[in-house]
Amino acid sequence: MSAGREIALGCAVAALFAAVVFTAADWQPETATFPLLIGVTGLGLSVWTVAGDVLRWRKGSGAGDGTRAEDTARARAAFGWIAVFFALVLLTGFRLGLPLAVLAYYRLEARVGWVAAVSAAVVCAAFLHVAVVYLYLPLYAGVLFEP
Amino acid sequence: MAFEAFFEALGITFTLPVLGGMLLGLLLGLVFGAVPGLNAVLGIVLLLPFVWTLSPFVAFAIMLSLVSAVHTSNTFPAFFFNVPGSPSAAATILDGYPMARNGDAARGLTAAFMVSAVGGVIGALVLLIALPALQPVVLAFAAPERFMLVVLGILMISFLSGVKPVKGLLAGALGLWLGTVGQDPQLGVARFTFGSDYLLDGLKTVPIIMGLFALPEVVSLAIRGRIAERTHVDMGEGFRPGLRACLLNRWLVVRSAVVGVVGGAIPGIGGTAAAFYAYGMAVQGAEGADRERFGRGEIKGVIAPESANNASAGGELVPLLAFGVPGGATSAILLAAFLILGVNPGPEMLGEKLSLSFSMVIVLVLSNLLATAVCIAITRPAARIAFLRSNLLIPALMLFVLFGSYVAYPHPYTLVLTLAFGVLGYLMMRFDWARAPLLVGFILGPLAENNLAISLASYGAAFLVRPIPLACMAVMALVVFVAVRRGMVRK
Repeated sequence: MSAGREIALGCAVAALFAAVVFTAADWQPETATFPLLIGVTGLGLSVWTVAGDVLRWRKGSGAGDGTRAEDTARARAAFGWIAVFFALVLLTGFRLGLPLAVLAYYRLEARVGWVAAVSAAVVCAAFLHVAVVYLYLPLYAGVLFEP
Repeated sequence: MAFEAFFEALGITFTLPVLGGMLLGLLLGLVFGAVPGLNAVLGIVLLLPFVWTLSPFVAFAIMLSLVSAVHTSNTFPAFFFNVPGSPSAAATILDGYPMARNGDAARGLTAAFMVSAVGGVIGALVLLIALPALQPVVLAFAAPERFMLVVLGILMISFLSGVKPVKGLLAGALGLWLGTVGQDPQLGVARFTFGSDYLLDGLKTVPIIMGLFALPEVVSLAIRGRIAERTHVDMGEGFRPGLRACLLNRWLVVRSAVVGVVGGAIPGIGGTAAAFYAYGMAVQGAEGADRERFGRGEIKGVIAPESANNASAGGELVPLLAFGVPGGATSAILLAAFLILGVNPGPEMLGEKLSLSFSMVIVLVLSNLLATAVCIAITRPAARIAFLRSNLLIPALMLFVLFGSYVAYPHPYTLVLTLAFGVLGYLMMRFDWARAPLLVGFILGPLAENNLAISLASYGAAFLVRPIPLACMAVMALVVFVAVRRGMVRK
């Protein structure tokens, strides 16, 4: 299964380099030389890589990435939480979204007590408050609150 | 000129802001080294958005002392939990963990910290000597030589830094392509921007670094769960025995430091490989019963890798400062820091900015000595790292990743870009694609393109047959040969 994913990754990179070559072919030489050089090299290397992966897979020697099912589940959960952090910040901005995400993570994933989780969220909010009010750093207000 | 620059560097380094920065870097480095899952690369990545308004002297004091402290404190988890605090301590586990199990941790740790300081100082001294010596060499480099050197650097990092060399090279090519996004430097034509104004200035360095390196570490920490399951560590007695072991093995310390400097200076080798070479050398140098003790708690098996991995930090700075070619992932991010701070590595660092280079040497020496003193003092309390749950660190990391990326380039797309590179970084980590070549390609790509354009305009294709480009091509052929042979041996 994971050998198939690695081949898919290689194919995606090959398609990307093919698109680079195709796009750069229309440009003037000054603009196109370097991207073409990279594109052709990258395409050759990615085809080589995919061919090697396919051969290994067909021979049955593709040992996979050795990832345990438990680790895969944890990785998925971690990406889920990363997505939650990003989504909350994009939707409600840094000053609301990030403390909310910290609170949610500590309560639901790390399962720490309310006092510790709220304290961490308050520290996070205070850090962002200092950044905005005293350091004049422009922080995103979120899709919902951006004027 | 070199003496003047050195004394100027001394004057600047011993000011409150630089010393304060060094202390801050030291404290952060101790944490990033001692907690498995955190490392020097992640530490510098998270610092990047905060240092760009500082003077280069202060900024590099923070970052270099962080790196030195990580190389020293990463020994704790290697001894206590059989887990390297960062990759460069991997070789220390082989004898460090058995020493701790034998109740000999204090002696081993003391010896490890002391030789770390000696190795770090030797690495810094080599850098001090190399910088003025390399000045005429660097000035002899014109556009064709610089172009070939960049290509050689990317090739070496790609081929030597990962287990899959062709995929490393592919990552390097991907990085070079990412470096072409934005306006073309000659005609100003928009390339690969998909009509977006955000991409006209090119992709932004900090979000790429945060995504590629920091987010996959967040996932790794989540997978790890608890840092270690052990609840008790026998420390034993051993400050004086540790010191005695260092003195008895002084030549091993020096030899290993030299291996570390050379390993650090060759792009793609780095501190981790150098530490294993030094370990192997220590084993080769032992005979009979001595040799059989390796792997069971032999102190020479701790001394050799620890001396080598600290010395490699100085070695890695030689090609970075002299030619702008990083030796590994840590120095690739330092290269990004150079550019963010408006400092160009290469001739400038050996000429008008020589005092900054010397200040880096002084910071390396001081931070290695200070890190050693602190680590020896905190040896016993550090054993409590075992009780830490790694998922408690994740929200703090996410805060710095999101905040750091956005502050560097305030635009909502920056967050999307960071997340996209986080996914790419995780996939690369999972499928053993080295990430450092991608970053090196991205950072050095514009430099390579400019130098290629100048070379073609000035010499045509004949630039390839100038002596230094020819020598570079010979080295490239050698690197490819070594990589192919290594692959055949592995099979």
